[in-house]
Amino acid sequence: MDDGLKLLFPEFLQEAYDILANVQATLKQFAVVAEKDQLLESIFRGVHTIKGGCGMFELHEVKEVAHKLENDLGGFRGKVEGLTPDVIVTVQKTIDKIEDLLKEGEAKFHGQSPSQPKSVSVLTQAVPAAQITAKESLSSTTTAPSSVSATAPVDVLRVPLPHVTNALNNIWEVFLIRNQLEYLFEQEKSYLKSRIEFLQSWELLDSALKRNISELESTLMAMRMSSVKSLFSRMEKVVRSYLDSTPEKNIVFETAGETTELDKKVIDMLGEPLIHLVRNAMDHGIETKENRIAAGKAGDGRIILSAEAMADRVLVRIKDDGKGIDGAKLIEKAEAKGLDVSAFKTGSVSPVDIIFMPGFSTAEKVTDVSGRGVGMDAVRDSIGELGGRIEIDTIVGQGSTFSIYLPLSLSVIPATVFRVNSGVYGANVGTVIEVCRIMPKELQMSNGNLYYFFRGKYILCFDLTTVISKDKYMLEEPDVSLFVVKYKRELVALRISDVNENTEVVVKPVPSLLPRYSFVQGMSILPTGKAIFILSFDALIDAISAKRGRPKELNKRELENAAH
Amino acid sequence: MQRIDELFASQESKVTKSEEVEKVISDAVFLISFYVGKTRFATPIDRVKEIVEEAAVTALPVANEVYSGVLNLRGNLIPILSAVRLLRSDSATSTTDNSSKKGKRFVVFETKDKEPFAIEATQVHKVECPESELRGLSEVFNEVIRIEETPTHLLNFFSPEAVKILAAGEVSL
Repeated sequence: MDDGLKLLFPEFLQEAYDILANVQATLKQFAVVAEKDQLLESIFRGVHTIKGGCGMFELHEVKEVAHKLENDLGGFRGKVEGLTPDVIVTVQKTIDKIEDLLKEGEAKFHGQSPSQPKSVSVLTQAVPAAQITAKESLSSTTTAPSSVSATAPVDVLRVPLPHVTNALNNIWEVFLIRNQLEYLFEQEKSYLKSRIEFLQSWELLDSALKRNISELESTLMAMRMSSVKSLFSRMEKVVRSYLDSTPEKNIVFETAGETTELDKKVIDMLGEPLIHLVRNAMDHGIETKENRIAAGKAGDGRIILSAEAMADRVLVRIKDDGKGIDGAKLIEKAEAKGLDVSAFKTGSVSPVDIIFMPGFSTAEKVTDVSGRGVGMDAVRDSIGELGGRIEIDTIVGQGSTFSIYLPLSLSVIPATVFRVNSGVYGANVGTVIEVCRIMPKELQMSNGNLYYFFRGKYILCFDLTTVISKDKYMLEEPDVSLFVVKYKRELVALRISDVNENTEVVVKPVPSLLPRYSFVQGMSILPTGKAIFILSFDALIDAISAKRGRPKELNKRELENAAH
Repeated sequence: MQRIDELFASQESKVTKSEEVEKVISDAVFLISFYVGKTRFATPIDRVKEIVEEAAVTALPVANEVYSGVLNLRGNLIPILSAVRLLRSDSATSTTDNSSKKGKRFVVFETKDKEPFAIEATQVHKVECPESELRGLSEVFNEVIRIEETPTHLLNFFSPEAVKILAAGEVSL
């Protein structure tokens, strides 16, 4: 490839990926749209454009595949009724194949070795249906106009993501600087009492500045948002390739809410966990056709992948109508593997959460589909890294639902700022259910654990003052501040030293040189100029539990005796 | 950090002004010399990004022997290395003495990968040293040389050993 072409290559790839996505979308319309001729024409043009490009950029393998597909598709011109659902599926698979090959070409171009070398021979098996009918017509390639692209982005400007990211970082700096200026100003305000006009214009300008910063921020954030569509079509591909190798199962895969938008970074990072969950649903959830019919269910299993925007977060759901997760069976398996499941047996923690334990996998044997070394614990960790959480609802015999809650924005969060010993921290205000100021004696000890009586129930209390920012000399605090937070399905109290304020903070990444704490979500800078760590309570409680082991069963009688 | 070089340039000129008239020695290199406790250290001047007089320091949630906190430098979060562990100097422990608080500075460095970090030090100033003294030290992290009649630990944060120390891992409670 000469240097001039090298410059054009990334642009060609981007266009090709767009075309492929469009073709996939068009293929899906085939079943419902009447003007099938037009759809075929559009697919035909798309494939032709890719073929032409691949020839220019010396991607011979892709060109060969695209050429064959183009010929095959040409065979259906004027007889679109021949495009049966089976044929559509083979075309979809060929498009997947082209995408894979393009990705290989991209990797090679960037000097990486392709992850999984694939050969063209795979494809020739994949298009038998299309091949047979294609024999009739031949030289159709010349008729398609080569210059027409399937996607013609009108007034859209492609901007490299780093540019938007840099602009966002800058606006967050400006946000923080304004906060600090405001703080300085408030400190000196009393000296300026007599200068009413000055104060008024200052405040007017300041509020205009504040508004503009937030408008600029939301514009830039919107630029980073993209729909989950590409992510969902990746999952469709995963399902197709699974069904190919698993003839004993049949699965109808549906998606909903494809236009829901998420931050580009979240979408990129969500790919792997989602693939894992979809594979799990197909492999462990959905039963074989035979077993389903024996259990009185429809032979075809159903998996629904949906996304839905909520007030301050996005809910991504994977719902299957498979066999569900049997808690008792999980406990048995975990014990056989030598894992400590005592807490799950008491019923205080749902046994379903066992699947998140490191080193646990429900597969009888490790198949090539699920269990590729990534466990559900890794899935939960990567969702946690994004500031989200995952919940499971399951009914044995009826199926499971995995709900992933993700933050809408990774950057500015409403935070509560609080003190633990001499350290000041922040946490997402949305995770706190209630703030209580109580007398120390209201915390009661049972079996070595602290409990707090909240809304008619004893809830477990973790004393953060003995966990983080431990000072050499600790002060006895006259009264106790508590956060009541939701942890998994229960309420938990966290003892802190004091609550300072609620404010909006910009979450910055922790400098890469610093050690990594599982429970630190990021850092921020307060108006006073002080840097603080933003904590994730979920992860903090996980870390404390991991260190101490699961709490023993609550001894109610002991607590009640102590209370009287 | 985009404008840090300019800031550094202004810092440098400040340092130069306070120095005596400079002698021009053809084979001399400039070093930044500083004390951690009673031990003197030096590092090539181009490895020092900035010298900060005052800054708010945030301690880590869980004490760590390599890092003592984080510094907010105009919106950039800069880890502060605990000199005790990094420099393996017993006398470095005395940084916590109140006697040495006077003239306390944060010396901001960069790793090979342009990651900034700071060390808390006193008596920070510029010195010169014949280039011949520094030859063959490119791989060594902490080597004692003689500058102005004083034994001085020459620090090289680009050495493999330093990189290893700087690679802090996961920390649990």
